[in-house]
Amino acid sequence: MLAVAHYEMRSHMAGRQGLRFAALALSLLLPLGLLRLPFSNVGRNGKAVPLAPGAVSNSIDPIAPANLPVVSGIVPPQLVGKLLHDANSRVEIVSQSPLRLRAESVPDDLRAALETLPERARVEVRRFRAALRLPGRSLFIAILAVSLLTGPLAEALPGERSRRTLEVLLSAGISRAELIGGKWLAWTISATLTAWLAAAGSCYNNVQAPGWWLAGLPLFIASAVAFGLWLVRLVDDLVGGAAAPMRVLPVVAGVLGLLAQSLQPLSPALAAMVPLGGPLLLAADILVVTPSAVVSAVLGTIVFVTAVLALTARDLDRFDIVTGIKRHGAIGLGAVALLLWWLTVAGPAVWSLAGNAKAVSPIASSLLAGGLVLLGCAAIACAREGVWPWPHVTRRALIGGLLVGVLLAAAGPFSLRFTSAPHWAEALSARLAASATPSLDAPVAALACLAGQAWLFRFGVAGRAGWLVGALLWTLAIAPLDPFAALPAALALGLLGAGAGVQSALIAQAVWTAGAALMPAPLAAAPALAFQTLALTAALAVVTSKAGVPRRQ
Amino acid sequence: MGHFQQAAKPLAALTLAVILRLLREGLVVRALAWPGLLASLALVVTAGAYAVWGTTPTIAVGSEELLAPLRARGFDARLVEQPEAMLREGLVIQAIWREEGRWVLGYSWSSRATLEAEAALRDYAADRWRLEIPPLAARPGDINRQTALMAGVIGLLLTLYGVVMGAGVLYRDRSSGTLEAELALPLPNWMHAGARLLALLLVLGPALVVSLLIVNALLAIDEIGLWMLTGTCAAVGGGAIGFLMMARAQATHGFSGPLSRALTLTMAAMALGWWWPLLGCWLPLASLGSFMAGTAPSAVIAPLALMAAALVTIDFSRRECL
Repeated sequence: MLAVAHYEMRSHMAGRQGLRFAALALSLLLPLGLLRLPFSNVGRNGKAVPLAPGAVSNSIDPIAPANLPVVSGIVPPQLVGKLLHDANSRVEIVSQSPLRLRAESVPDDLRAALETLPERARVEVRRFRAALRLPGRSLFIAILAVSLLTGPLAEALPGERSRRTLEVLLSAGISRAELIGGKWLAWTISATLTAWLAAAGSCYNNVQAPGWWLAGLPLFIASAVAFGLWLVRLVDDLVGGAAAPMRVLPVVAGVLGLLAQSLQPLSPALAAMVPLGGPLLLAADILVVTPSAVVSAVLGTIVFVTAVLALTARDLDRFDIVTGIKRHGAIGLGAVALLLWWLTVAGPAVWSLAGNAKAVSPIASSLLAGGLVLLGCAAIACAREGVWPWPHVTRRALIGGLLVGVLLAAAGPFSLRFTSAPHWAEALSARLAASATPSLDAPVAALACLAGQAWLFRFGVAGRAGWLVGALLWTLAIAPLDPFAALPAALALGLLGAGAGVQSALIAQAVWTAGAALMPAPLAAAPALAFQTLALTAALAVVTSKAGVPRRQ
Repeated sequence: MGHFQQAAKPLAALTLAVILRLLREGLVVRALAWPGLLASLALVVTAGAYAVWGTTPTIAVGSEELLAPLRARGFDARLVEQPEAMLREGLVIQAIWREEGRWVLGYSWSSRATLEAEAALRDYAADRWRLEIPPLAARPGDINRQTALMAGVIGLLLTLYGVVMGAGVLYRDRSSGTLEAELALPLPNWMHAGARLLALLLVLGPALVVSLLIVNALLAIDEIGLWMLTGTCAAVGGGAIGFLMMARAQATHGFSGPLSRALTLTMAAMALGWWWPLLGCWLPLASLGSFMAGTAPSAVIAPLALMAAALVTIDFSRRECL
């Protein structure tokens, strides 16, 4: 294993290439470790930092009038010379006795000026540092040290495969485990040494006090290198070998870090044992350090690294290239489109939850943007496959679309059937539900919305992953929190799209939308679902019907 | 007209072929999706975090007399024995207690709710100065400036994409032999450059428009139409620069040299617009920088951008480019 590690280091770090890599690593990591920011090391690790009374008033510099706080309205005599007047200021003095300010916020310098009023203060405002354990500089050192390994990880296995030297190594008198172990050891030691160098700088310059995070660094790096090698074990080109760890590793480490953080209140030892996540918390100096937590972190890392390297070694003999499956690609594209759809259509409702309902944009602009997003994703899917929807509408498609559309319209506009839902869910869901039968007050937005839904879910996704998957994704897009309210309609439109063409499904949803405009109030739950089920039956009939009169034999 | 029709069909076919090649690259598709996705995700997550933590009406108080005035203002006021301790431990984010003859409002997370609590407390205690909080406006403060910067950054990102894609599409076709095969077709040389630049416009333009519409749906952007026009012109300009640098470089110069020159030139043009808005508003790339600095672009940037693309096309047609 040591011999393999030595070979690995010699082949990648010898000569100018090695010097360049070392220079790059040090030029990035050393300043990161040494640089001291003005607000660092103040009140970390849950220690409260109260502002002492009167300390704020020291922020006023009477010699520099340009720095005085600015107010509009009449400045009271006691504050002349301590406040500047500007009619455009958003802080307004509305009355003198008592002194009353109208402002969206009160900056510290204004507070300090008000503290100089002669009467005794009856109220004091005191700011405390939040009782959160914030990560130290070591988190960034750990992340950067692992990021610098993107190139070497791409060379370690994908480079060997692309140059056909992996077969030579496999035929040598060493085991698979020794080969992988040697590569892992080489890069773990290399990254750990550079990370410790940066850490030494931060300890020396009082950026971060020494602690157990110094032990967390090699644990996290070891886990990340092992996982990175596993990710690239079957990749045979350098670009793919660089892209895979760059994309996957941060996400996995982040998710596992959040998992470990959520387990911390239950048991720090359990949190420390989470692969990648526990060592990340320890390296970031936010894990509550107990002896059992440290032991758990070490043991957990040993188990994780051993298991992952074993799996990697087992796959070294495979030379098949892993390719993406069309079905999964369609679902992935649909998922991205779904996320963008939710953000665009439901997202604006978050402003009302944040306390400013006036900031919520009109539903029409959301539907237009969301519809264009779906159209764009559908166009990309079609371009990649080289399959486009046929614009021709057959008579069967037209009749089927009208029939299903009329039955859906009889149910009235689509509405949710929450029995009990939290307030935040209702606000978000109402906007999504409105997109099933968008208002015709904004016809362009409505058309984009309907066309986007039809083209993406009933052609793009349905064509590659099946109409049922497309229908389910549409249900998630329209009613993620109340799917059963939309399921019959989703199945009806999906089946119609699959059997009679996407144009038929588009016609059906357009007729439904037009009918909903004429019937503003939805029916009660039971009759609405009954009509939707009838629509599903009609769609089934359209799909299974054959054109023409049956011939007698 | 006949000549135009003769040119239009092969140009359209070549352009479509380049567009399909671009869209089949997963890297390109993901890059185009990221600006809108990340911007909207960041906005929604920020608003969501504020909704969870910034609007909480819960406040711990150490004195029963405060319960009624705080509840009248919509707070969920709770009487506790040690409000300061609860605040320090992070169990609440705002608390009020009595200390040395004065009321102390402690908070660990500054928000509008904290300000409302302060206003209520000052009124109750009849303090020497009081606070009145105006109702929230739909678009408070200088939000136009902030949304303009967001739109500008999205335009900047897509311009840089244009540079990379303009250079990359020529480099890739040159190194794979596709360009050589296309040049053997009985078509004028300018058509190959024109098709590639037109493809960039038809890919980057809609991507920019949709990204801006996504952000606009969350946080209305002032003069969004003008941002779309400026961003598209900048993206086309960037693509033309990338294409030009790659076309002028020989095949042995590789990819990174011409690309870095193109990126430097593009950023320099935008910086010129930022620092000298009165000049920048007249030029396609620089107008993005000047618009971010607050000066609206002139109407000539669109024809100038097309003219620049045409000049790049003519330059290409006079070169070997292999």
